[in-house]
Amino acid sequence: MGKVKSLISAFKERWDAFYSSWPEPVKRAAVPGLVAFFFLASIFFPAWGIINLYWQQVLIYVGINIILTLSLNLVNGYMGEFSVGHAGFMAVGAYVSSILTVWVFPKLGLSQYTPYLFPLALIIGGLAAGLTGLVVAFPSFRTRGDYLAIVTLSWNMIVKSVLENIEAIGGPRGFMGMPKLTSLAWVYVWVVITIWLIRNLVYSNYGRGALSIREDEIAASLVSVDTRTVKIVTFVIASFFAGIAGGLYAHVLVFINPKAFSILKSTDILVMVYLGGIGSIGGSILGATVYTVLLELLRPLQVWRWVIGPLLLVFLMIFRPHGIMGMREWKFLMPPEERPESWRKERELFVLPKLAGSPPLRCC
Amino acid sequence: MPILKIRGLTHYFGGLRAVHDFNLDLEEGELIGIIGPNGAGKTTVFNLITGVYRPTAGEIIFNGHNLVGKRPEQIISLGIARTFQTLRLFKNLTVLDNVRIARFSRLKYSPVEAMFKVGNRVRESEKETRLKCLELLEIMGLADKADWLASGLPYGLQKRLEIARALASEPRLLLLDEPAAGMNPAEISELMELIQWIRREFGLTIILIEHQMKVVMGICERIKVLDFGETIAEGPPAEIQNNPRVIEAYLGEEAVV
Ligand SMILES: Nc1ncnc2c1ncn2[C@@H]1O[C@H](COP(=O)(O)OP(=O)(O)OP(=O)(O)O)[C@@H](O)[C@H]1O
Ligand SMILES: [Mg+2]
Repeated sequence: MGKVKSLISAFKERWDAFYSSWPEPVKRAAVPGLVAFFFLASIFFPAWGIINLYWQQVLIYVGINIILTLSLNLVNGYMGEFSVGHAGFMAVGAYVSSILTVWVFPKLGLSQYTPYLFPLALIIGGLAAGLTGLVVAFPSFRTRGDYLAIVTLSWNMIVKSVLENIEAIGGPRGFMGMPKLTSLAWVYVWVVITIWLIRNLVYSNYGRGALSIREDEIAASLVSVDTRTVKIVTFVIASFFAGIAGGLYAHVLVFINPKAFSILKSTDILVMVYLGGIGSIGGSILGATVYTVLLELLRPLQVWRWVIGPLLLVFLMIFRPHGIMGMREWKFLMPPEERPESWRKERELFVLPKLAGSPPLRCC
Repeated sequence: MPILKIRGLTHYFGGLRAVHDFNLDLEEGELIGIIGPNGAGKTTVFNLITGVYRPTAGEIIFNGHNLVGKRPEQIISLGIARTFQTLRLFKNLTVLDNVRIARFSRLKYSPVEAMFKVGNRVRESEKETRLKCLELLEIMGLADKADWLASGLPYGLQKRLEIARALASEPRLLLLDEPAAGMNPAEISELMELIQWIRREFGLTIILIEHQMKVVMGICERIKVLDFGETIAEGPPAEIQNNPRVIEAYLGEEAVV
């Protein structure tokens, strides 16, 4: 373990030295450049047969799981609450977007436009999930105390049994007939959008509010943080993205049934959050990727696969509650103005000159 | 008109009367001290003012607003800030974030604006906040550690960071709960200077709870003495030092002077 750590830090040192030798424009173009490159790759690699169908499918699941993990991380990692029913919101997004693409769009005579309306279907599914998130958030955050786990647990079970009892959408047999609209490129685009939006949120007033709630809720309210609003807003946004992920999921499988959104699915998402690390975008990406690929490799285990998740979750919570990169972040995922070197620059550029004339604090 | 007016403030924890009939008229710019033996109810008074507890009886008027029944964040947003007897920093957040968070209620952009960074409203108000807070850190001698985690600071600097965090919200009234706790004599005189300096520089009204008599007697214009929730004496330092009831209350503890 120690050896691995020293290897990593040696690599990091060399990388930092290499990175700082880049000219400024190259540095600035690096991240957008990579994002664009992977976008093109997500279109052309499958088309050219560089990635076969099986690995396309796996990568699509990785992407969907990144969205799920990152959004749950908002609530459980950044804000330090404990929501356990994320799959419930995913289900809402999956069913609502499927109803749109299977029934509503064709009924409106828009069948041939469905591929173009797919983003709209996803967003409406996300909004529906967000709305249910609001309904769940209100009672959970009304009073102090740990109601959220219980409320979200029951929420997840309620969603599942409600879906099982609506015959019109297939009941327990499931809902099918969705066009296969989710491609690797679409998933990639949504992953990038999700990361970008959540990153902006996390490094804003609301993100700081959420973090302060995790650190010390009463102290947060005593430095003017409107804790209830922050909790509700964060929860609704997390639900929205779970809904988006659900929509993508439905349109890659082209068949959904209530069982797919059970508490086991929610547990998987929890595992990915705590494996990757709380309060970290990079951690969410890592956690989702590692866990998804791991489960793929363990497919031969069949039913036993369902034991791995909960077991891993328990071990993680006990032995490594901060996960792979808990509360740490890769620099390239941070907004440039939020990196420490930019703070130092601003200090030199604006703060020091401004204070140059005034007398320093005598006592320090 | 006093900036803070408290009348008949009383608070029970179950059967325990923590504060009884506490009254105060605080003029703008005053620096007053609250002293009293352990468990006298001093911290409870701060908790009642800032809305952590709702008083059993009494009224608290700050700057024309009735504070009773308001939530802490509403009260703080009216221009009150406080520090805590035992440090309550956001330990896993950076020094800058600890300070920035205190400007939460001043930043008015919506979550959707935050996510899309539309227009310049978010960028500009964030930049303004960042610069203001960096400036404050500079003044408080913490600027070179802006990117440190709060937990990484030595104790003395953590204490100072808590004061910086309180100042970041640009309060009119500052409540300091035993700022000298755990400090050595040199640090204490530094702290006394700091308190007087920020008071002048930021135009603050201050209530100071302190066990260190040197501090209270040295910088407060007026002192209230609590014992078992009752106000047993009130007046300028010289008077308090010689008040027989105060001496009696402190009997067994360290000498008053
Ligand atoms: N949350 C609470 N629940 C029950 N009792 C409490 C609570 N907070 C304080 N008390 C009690 O109220 C009384 C006053 O406590 P308080 O903390 O205000 O004293 P203090 O004057 O600040 O003392 P110290 O100098 O030790 O800080 C004490 O008897 C204390 O045990
Ligand atoms: Mg106290």
